Amino acid sequence: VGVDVLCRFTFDLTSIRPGYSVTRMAKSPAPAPLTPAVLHILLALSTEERHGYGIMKQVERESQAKVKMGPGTLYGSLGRMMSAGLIRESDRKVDPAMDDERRIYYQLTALGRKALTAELDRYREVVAVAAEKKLTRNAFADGV
Amino acid sequence: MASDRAIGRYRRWYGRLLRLYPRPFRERFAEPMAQTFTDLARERTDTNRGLLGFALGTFAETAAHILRENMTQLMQTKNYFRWVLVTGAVLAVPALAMALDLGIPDPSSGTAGVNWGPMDFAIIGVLVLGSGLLYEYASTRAGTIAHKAAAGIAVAAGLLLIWVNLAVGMMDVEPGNLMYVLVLVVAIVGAAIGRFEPREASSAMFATAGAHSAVAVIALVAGLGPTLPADAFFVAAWVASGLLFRQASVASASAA
Repeated sequence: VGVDVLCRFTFDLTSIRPGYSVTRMAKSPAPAPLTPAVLHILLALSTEERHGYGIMKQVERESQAKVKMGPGTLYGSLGRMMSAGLIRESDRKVDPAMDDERRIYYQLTALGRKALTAELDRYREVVAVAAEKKLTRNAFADGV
Repeated sequence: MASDRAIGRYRRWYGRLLRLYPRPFRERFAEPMAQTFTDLARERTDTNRGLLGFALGTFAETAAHILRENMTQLMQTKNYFRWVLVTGAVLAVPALAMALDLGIPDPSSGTAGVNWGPMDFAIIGVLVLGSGLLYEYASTRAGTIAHKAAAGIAVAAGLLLIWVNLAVGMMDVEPGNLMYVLVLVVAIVGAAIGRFEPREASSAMFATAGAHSAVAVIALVAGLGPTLPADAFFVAAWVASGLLFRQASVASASAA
């Protein structure tokens, strides 16, 4: 039992998808779901390459400030996403709008775009099923 | 400007915290993380918000992830399972001795031989497993065999010192054994401050050898028990660890 718990803990720690390890992910991009942090980072990078602070701010904007990542969460996710081949470092180093310090920019890879597309398709399917069932925002407001 | 100085100060502390990440992660992300920290701090000061709360929150969040990354790296090496097996093997010895009624009877305690309670198994289990994982953690930061050997000797000496004191006590007088806790505090705090980097760890081990020697002298002068042979063994272990850390430090300096 102890070993099983340890193994499950390991997969939880190393996953970018619940239940999927980075190494398994790199070999075969399983369809879904991505963790919320990974999904938001992929979305933030979908329009342009960004540095760490830029990703944080974009995620904050796109989530109406509901998702705020600290540096630990952000760079931990970036590390796992790079290992999984979803993103890579870009050659761009300087943000003229901020200062002249060297920054590392990140951009989506083809695999990252594919994973994002698959994840968004999954969300669309879920929303379509909910619409079919006529599940509105207040569907359970009366506690039924 | 005052805010720039404050940001610089917090960034330095944050940089020190980032050194606790596993080496591969640190080499890849420490600099951009420090840069992001500075960006966030500037955003705070630009909007006239305080830095202290932000810094404490970010330090706590990052510390949690440092623990997580170290755990992840430890688990990925699969070496932790080796220590689970070692711990099981160590605990199996007294368990078997009790089951088979082996061991030397101890008339003073009235026991027929080995007589471990659940708490004994738990304490020794945690000690052995914890020491093994600590060694694995130190090994992840090691680039040479000397570095690994130094960490191994230090961890083994610490484990043995705790075990001996818990089992029988180095000294005849019980409060006297608490002095060995100070020896371990010197070793652990010194190694932690130095983040198991060879040069700092070397100094920590020599300081530990000094502290242990001082305890040995006090025990000798105060007649607290025949601890000299055991103390000499431990001092030799601390010194050996210190020398190996020093050798690893020289090797890594020349490699750089």
